[in-house]
Amino acid sequence: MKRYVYVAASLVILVGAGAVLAVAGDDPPEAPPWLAADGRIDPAKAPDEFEVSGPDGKKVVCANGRTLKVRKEQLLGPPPRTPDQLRADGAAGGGGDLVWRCGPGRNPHLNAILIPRTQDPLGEDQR
Amino acid sequence: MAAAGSAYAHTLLSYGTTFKDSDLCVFGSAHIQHGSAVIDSGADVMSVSNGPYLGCTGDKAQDPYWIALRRQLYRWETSSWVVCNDSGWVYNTTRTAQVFHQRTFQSAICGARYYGTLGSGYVYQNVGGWSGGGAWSDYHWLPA
Repeated sequence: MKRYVYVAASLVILVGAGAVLAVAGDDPPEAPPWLAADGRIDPAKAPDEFEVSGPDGKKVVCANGRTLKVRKEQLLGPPPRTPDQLRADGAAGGGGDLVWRCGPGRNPHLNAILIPRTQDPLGEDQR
Repeated sequence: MAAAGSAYAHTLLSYGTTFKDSDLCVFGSAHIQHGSAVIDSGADVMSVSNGPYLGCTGDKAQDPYWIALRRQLYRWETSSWVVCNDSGWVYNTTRTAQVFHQRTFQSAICGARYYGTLGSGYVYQNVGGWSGGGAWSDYHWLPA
């Protein structure tokens, strides 16, 4: 009888621990690999690609079933255009609500585009 | 790069010099804050003069589009950091020495997770191009 009590108690502890981990979602975070010892960002140490979330908070999955990947150069900078190019293009200052989406082509998951949410073809469905 | 935390409203802030040469210093910061009802993710970049005696001190104003900032909210998932929200590049549209961007969310938009803000700030120079770097707020658990 005592043995059954021990087994039951162990199961309760394991299930409880599992529930805590499930709520937490994952293992505890690791410091981002792109964080240098002096606290600055070292893009060379960043992963080559990052996964991104849509407005619904879930990872963006493309029509081919693959998770969208964004190259680190598209995320970490420096900006791709010079001030002269921005001025010539009549660029806005930015700061609007943007979303990452799959691009065109045979590999849309490798062709990420960042677009204004107002132009999001998936619109309200992804909120 | 320095970091600061606050028990009130659970603020994590990191700031410091991301670039320095003979006449320019670039300061960057990133923060994440969890208050009673909302979540703030913010970043800023400052263009600062670097003098021979005073060092990095005093605003160094820049023409429009010469300062760029990007704020990204990351969430921890399983074993990697995933971009949850991205401001894209934000530029100064008037002559100034600072660009700031902040976004307030009514909830943890990517679920109950650990979150952190990455701010990437740059100042353009005729010689050297975009000069600057990033600041990481450190991470914070945010309930859904």
